[in-house]
Amino acid sequence: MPNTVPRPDDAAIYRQHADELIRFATVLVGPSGAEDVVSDAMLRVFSSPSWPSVTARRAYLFRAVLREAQMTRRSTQRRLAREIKTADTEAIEAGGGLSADLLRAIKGLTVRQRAVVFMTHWLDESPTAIASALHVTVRTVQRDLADAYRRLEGFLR
Amino acid sequence: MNDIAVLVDRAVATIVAAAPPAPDWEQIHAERRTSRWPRSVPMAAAAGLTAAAAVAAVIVLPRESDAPDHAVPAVTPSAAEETAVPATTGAAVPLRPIRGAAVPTWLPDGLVVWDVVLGDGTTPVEFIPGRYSDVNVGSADNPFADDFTVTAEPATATLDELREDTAGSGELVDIGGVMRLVTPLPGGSLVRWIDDGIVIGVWNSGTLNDEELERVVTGVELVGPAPARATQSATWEQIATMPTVATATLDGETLELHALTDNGARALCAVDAADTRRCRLLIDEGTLAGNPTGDVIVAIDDGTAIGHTYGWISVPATVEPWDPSVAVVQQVVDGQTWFRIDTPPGTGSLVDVVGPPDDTAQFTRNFGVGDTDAQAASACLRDPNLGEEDGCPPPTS
Repeated sequence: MPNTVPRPDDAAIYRQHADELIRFATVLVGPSGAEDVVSDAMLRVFSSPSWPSVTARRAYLFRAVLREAQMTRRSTQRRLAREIKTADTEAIEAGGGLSADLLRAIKGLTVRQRAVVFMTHWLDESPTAIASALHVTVRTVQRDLADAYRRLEGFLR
Repeated sequence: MNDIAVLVDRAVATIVAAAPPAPDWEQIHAERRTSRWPRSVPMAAAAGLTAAAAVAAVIVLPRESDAPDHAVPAVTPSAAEETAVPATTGAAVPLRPIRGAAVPTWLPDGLVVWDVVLGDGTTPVEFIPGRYSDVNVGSADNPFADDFTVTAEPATATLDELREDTAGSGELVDIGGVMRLVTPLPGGSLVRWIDDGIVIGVWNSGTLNDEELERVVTGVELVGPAPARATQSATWEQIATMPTVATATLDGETLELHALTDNGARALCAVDAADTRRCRLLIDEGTLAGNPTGDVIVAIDDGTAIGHTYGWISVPATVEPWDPSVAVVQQVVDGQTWFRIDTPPGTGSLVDVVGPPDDTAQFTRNFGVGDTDAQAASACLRDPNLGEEDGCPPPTS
């Protein structure tokens, strides 16, 4: 039976990328949903029979997290709406909360736009590299980034 | 770098700073059973696999490419095996902490069923009042908040105790190697999924007719996967038997508001006094537009979706006449029933899909309130060949 048990090096690969994956997920779905997204994505990846044949593993892991975030989009939107409400009315927990404006800014973007923004501004990757990692065209990356800027501008200025 | 890029730089840094610690490797795999079994085993079992085979099918998902897709295991009824899983009546296995979203449903006998949603699937978990403890759901003024942590341990209920809980009315049934405890209730039945003597899931079979339920109970023939979010749906009969909590007037017509969900603070459907079996759509504008905290609720009449709402509704509610331009379309895709809710293009108000809990996620195309892509969403649903480049979620595998 193929790959029912994670291989020892899977743990090492995960640990190598865990920190950047959780940051990535935080930008995609917010702090409170990031853990679940990463956990679910990793379970899928390491249970996949095709995983051992994957060569670009880091990109694959990022795609898996992105896909997971896209699938949880509705609950993410609800969560963000609730967090915005909380941020409007209550003190933000030290270290764990984000401003309402910032949460609104996140909510205004598609999940893929969030991914592109993160990879551009945090990972400092080029549109070509991002396109390769996300399996989209360079034009799509450029368009997502431009759209994201346009949407964010109103919230951040 | 221009101004906006600098601002985005700061914003991203702020968000990243709020990132929680990454789950450790052991934690991820400790969650495997919790997050996979309840929502996946019933499907595979319904397709005719033993529990062991079902687990294997869940773990080994066939892939057509190296993309992390979510294809459902290819199983056929011919793969059914008759090996029964012996009922464990002694040791109880503690439920593990569960993270997810929860939606409570008050059943007619006062039993509370929590529909716990994990990730992209639904894991129905039942909490019997007094039996499980430390269920932390949101805050006192917002008990319906999702994204909470359920700590339900120790779960000490054994199968024998569960039988006692149901006053002996439950019937233990082995279907496809998975034990179920079927408990008749007014308006339907509860089918509990038993694993090692504890309840790992509950199926409110209120959407089944008697004939379908009989097949479940006798195990003569497997029925399909659990109905989509069954605890959030209701038959007309269920709605009509709920207590009348208030009345409202619409176009000069007096409507009775029936509480479906809880103690009368909220209502799902208004039934007109002439009992013409129409379900009025009630929308609390503030709730709908400002703070959607619930899921789509679809009211069913004779197998046809006749009403829906999003989130929970306050009473007195703003009674909105049924808008015929809001279509609730029932469709069967790959043998599974889905409800598509369309709003007119450009209204940007409400598009959603209620689908069965499964691992395929292939139709988990949820579009929340406030989205402006209603038209695109509908197109995505109608044409599974549309992909991400078309602005749709990943296409059906």
